[in-house]
Amino acid sequence: MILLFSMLALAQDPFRDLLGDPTPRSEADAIAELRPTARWCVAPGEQLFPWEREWCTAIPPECPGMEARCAEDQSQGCNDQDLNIPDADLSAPLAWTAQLIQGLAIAIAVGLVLAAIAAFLRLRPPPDPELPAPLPARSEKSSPEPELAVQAGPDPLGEARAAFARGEVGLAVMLLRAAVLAVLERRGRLVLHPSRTDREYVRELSQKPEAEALHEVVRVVEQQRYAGVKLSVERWERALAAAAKLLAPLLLLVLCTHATARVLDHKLLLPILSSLGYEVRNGELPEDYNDELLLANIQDAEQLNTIVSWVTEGNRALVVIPAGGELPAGLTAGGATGPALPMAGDNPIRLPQKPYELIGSAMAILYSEDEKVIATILRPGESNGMLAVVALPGLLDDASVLHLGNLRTIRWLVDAMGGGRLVVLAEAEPPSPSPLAALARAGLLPLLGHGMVVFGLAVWWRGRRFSAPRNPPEHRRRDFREHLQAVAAIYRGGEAQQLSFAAYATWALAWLRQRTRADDGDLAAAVARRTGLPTERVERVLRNAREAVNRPDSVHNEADLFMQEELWEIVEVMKKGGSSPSTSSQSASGGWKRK
Amino acid sequence: MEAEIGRVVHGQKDAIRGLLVALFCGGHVLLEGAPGLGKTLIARSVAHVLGCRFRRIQFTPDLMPADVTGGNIFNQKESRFEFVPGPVFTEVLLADEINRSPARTQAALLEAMADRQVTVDGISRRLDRPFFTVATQNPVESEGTWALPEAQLDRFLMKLLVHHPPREIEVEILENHLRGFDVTDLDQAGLETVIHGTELVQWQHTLRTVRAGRPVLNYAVDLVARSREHKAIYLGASPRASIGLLLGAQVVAAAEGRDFVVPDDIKELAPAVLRHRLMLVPEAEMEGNTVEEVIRDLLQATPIPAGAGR
Repeated sequence: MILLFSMLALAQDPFRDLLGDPTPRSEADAIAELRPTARWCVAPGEQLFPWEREWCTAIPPECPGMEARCAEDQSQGCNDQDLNIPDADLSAPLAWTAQLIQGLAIAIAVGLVLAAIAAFLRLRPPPDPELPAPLPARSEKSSPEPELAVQAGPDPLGEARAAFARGEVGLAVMLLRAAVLAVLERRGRLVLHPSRTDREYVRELSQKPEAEALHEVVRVVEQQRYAGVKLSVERWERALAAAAKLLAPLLLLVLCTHATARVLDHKLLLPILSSLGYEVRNGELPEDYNDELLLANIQDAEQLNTIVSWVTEGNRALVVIPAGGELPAGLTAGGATGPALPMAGDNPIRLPQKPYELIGSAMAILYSEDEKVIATILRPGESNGMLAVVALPGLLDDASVLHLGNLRTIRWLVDAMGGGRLVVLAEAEPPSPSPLAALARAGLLPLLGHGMVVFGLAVWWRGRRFSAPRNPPEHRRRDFREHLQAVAAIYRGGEAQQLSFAAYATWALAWLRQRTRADDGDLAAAVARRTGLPTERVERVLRNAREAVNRPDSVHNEADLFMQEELWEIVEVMKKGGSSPSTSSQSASGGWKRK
Repeated sequence: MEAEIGRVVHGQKDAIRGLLVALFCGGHVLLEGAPGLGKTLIARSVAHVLGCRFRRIQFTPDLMPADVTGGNIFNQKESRFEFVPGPVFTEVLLADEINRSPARTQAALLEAMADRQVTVDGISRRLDRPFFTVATQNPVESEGTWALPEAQLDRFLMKLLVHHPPREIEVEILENHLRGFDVTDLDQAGLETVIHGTELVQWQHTLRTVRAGRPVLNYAVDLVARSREHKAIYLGASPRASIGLLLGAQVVAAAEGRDFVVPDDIKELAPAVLRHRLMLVPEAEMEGNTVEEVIRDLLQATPIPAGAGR
């Protein structure tokens, strides 16, 4: 993509016109360059001779405007159209830099203004203490309830149960409520505030699976706190059960897969788990979540030990350990994990056909068709934590665990863990070696491609826009002699009018004076002597040439054309250093033609 | 009752609910809203479903106190003064546009609303029970109106705001009129009596038995007390406001099927009970604060009381 972009940019080459053309121009090029610039068609189009009109309409197509105007005064070639840009604008490609600097200047100016406003607001005098302070905006930030400051121990339900058994119903209810609200706040479910009522918390959770359980707890709290009636044991137990559901450690489903998990299957799994009341998040956790552990790849024993320690604290986790992985220390699995089964991607795991089989402190819950244990629930010591280990490489390698045929099993497995409400599907892949692959994995490639295309198009568009009005490249500047020669050539070719004759004559007289080293009085004689032409003829031609020089704007006549022809012949003879017998004669048609 | 009234009064559910709460706890209501929003219709509908006697007083600048309370008229035939009761001697009284009469006339209702009796020429006469006053006022106009004095406002249990109905509700109203609904003939509209006055009085007594624990009482008192300490408030709420909060909360709790009050009931009623009892300091008004904002601030600043069993 970058290469494509570079090629695209280079193809436009916005800087190509900055450099001149190193190749020397030929005479024909010089003439062609001068053609539209010559003050050639000064007369209106209808007064032109046919050949003049033909020439005028033969103006190169790149100068369309010239065709209509027919080379008016001070023409600078094609540049006298809208292309006539001052030399300073030849730096147009540098406008990018100028725009960048301009943009930076604007940004700096805006920043300064904002900084000034901020400084002004900071320096504003404090409000008059006599005046009432503006009412504070409603704060959604959580602030601790005083009642929640009485934190329960590591087992709040046990303490609440004990308090209730001691007859301290108020304390028991308070512990129950505090524990539940604290957990929900820690999980980001609630924003606690001393002014908020329990029913408001329930309403806040109305769309969440925890709402019903919290409502059950709140009913008990209200009964005890506001109704003043004695709580029945049955009701208390119901609230305890609800609180237990809320307080149960979160279930973490860590799918450690290096393989290409099929997204379709993944999407199928999510609604099923959601329908079970689990909150499913695809590897994204709120920042303030503290109850879960998210490991992407269980690659080594250290990571597994981290999970084990987490489970030991009472949490629950379901991990899929690659085949051959050893159980970490501290876990007892009497049945051991089953051997790796040859699983095709579509092979479903079947549900156990017999009741749970407790093997030591481990509970095998899944069997293969040949009665081999493929999933084991492990309990670390006496902890309430639970670790379900599924040792099936197929679950990893071909993502069978996400396959539709296995959903029922996974659902059953998750249910067997019990108590969880959060399932984190963390699909992890090995880090990609290439940045492009990393971008693709992050799903940014289409966005990047789109951006590059847009940027490329912008460059292309800008390139066109900038290049078009740019002045054509300036060739090496010709000297005056070249210029006049070119002009003369044009005049010669086009059979000049009075003005052209004047221009040519100016040069020719100067040139003859230079060549003969004679002043105007002796010029005719000197030229006649050098060329061998009749003196009278030379004098007549030079006299007419001077008249043309002195009156360049006079109306031309055919004699002028003849005179220019003769002057040209004299110059040519002078160039050759000898006499020239060539003459001009009037054609039968009345026009003049060169012999 | 709410459903029955809702047959003729479309939208305004909050106002109807507040009005019924006030009715069942024996309070009076001030309805505030722009003209044409159905304030009078609400009051008449309440009277209709109650099966109570209904009188309406259109308050005007030239209305005299005797026009409200009644007075002693000399009977030439019997050569003695006879008391002719005014419209206040009713069960449901609509004081329409109450702020269009001067304070002297408005004050004629003070005794009736607070003590449910009328004293004329030194003789006090008890009003019937139930006695329920619904006053309306237009908040927009100020020309030719007299703002209700604080003492008068305090007699109202609630001040309910009647807002413009949403578009779809307004379409419903039009459809109802297309079907021939006549606001002057509620019988034709099929509005039925749901509860009679005597039953209402019995309910009022019964609802007083809804339990309100000490935490709830503390919460109500805290809320009202904070209104007296708030910087933006010049005049805080009176203990009558606390009582109103408690009585209203009892009705709300019963309406939700509870026999005890929770702080949510207090919070629900706080705006209606407090908004006409709080007077902002001028500086706060200049700051752009409103009473509603102050009440929100009070609710946010008042913690929910902890349980008694701590």
